[in-house]
Amino acid sequence: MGSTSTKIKLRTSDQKVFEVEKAVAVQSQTIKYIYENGCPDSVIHVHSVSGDILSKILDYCKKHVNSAAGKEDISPEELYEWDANFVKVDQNTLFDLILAANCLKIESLLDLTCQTVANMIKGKRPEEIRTTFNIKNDYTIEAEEAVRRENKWAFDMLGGVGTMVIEELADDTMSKCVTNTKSRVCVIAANQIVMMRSISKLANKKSIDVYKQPQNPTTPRIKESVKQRNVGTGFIELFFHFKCKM
Amino acid sequence: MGASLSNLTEGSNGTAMGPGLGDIPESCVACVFTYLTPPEICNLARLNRAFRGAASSDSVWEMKLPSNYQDLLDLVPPERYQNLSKKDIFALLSRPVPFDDGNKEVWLDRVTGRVCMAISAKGMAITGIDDRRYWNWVSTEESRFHTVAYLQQIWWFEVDGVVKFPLPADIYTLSFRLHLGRFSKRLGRRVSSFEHTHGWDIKPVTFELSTCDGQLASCEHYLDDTEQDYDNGNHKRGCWIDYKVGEFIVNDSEPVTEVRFSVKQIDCTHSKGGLCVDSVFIIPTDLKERKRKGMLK
Repeated sequence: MGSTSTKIKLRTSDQKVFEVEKAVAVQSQTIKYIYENGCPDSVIHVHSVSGDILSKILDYCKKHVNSAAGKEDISPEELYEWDANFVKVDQNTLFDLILAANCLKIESLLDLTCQTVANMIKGKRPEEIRTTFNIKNDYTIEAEEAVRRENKWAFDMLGGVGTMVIEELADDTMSKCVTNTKSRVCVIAANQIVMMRSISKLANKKSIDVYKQPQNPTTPRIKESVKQRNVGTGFIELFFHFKCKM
Repeated sequence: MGASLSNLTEGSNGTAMGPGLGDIPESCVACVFTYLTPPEICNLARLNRAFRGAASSDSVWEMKLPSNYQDLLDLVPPERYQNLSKKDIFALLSRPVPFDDGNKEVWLDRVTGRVCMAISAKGMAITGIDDRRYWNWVSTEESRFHTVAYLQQIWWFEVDGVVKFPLPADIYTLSFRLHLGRFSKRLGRRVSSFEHTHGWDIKPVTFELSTCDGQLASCEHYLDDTEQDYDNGNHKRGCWIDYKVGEFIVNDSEPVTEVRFSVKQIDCTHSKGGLCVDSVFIIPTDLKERKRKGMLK
């Protein structure tokens, strides 16, 4: 059988030919299948992938094969860093990578790139996502409103007794939550109730000092400020900032 | 494979650019969705019609439901969940589902899809609950069960409970929700009164939990501050406090998990009183301790 230094030739959509080690190329399940079931000596066509993209993909595969085989002295953290830098590319390249990883069936690369896209989506409002990804909005205003209402359940606050919970706010962090203007805020930190405040009382203030009751009564009282801004349609965003008061 | 959300990307001058989020095939979109939480996926439904379709697909939501979600659905009358898509099932189960005559509730956390549970004081065995000299039931909106047990005064303070439920595999934290003092609304403001509150600073109460497979946890807490701690103000009075009893591990939803829990202070040399017992929460430990940075993340 072939040794690990067997080379496989790959031809891309723009007629570039790459010669790579078999161990690297078979990271792609598609190439592996073709190699094992087709003609191992001839060139494998990867029609849907361009030279630039394949070159990047082969870098990825090589890095991962070498690190797994111990050929490269790289710790898991360093590999993670390398992956993070690998996906710092423009959007077009990122999506080309996704399409190629999907077509070539390289699961770890597909996961990595999809997670990158997911991270670009997190925390953004729909308008921001549309802008980031140049997505066309084909809703009418009424239709979009209907969709918003249909999905409201996912954003309803916990409790059902008119209180909303923001959990685990650490000292000195800015934590934000979006809350319905009718509800009360019940801030829980370190499993202790901090304060219950009616939102309507907060509504007219720019910032408020709310005293936190520490879990251990001997720690100093902590003062936090609450800033808020309207995000429209009966919701406000609250920013909680904790600071320690000695 | 499959359809793609194509023709939905446009450059700033209206011409088509390279592939964008709208051009990747459904399977890749599904892969992106595995890294998003349910609220984030629902957010995407507002982008355009094609995303609404992708964000509603059963395969995406099946992954967000716990593996034994059918056990939760069994608590709901069948007509309410027949013909529902997996997304709607998730929505249904993310609201508290009562069982055991309404004394217990179970629900899925909206962000992670993990199972949480609350058990009302009404579902627990409280020593002396029938004697109005000791205990009273108080209606209040501050409890998700709308009733709490208020202790006026007693020597033998014991509250026991048990729950049997097919919890999915996870590590759970059990906690008691207690309030020192009674509370009421006067002229629209919430007021606490401690007329009956006494005895909790003398000896601690003991919290315990045990599971049928032999896991045990217990701890002790003083429910009230002693006099010398008053300098900083008494922080234990007048608010609801979740006392963590401990953690237990569930390896599988079968066999069904049974957990017993209790809070006791049975030293009869001193009486105690002025305490509200609301409920017990069983919440996945990660959920309770994770730092959340806003609701949409």
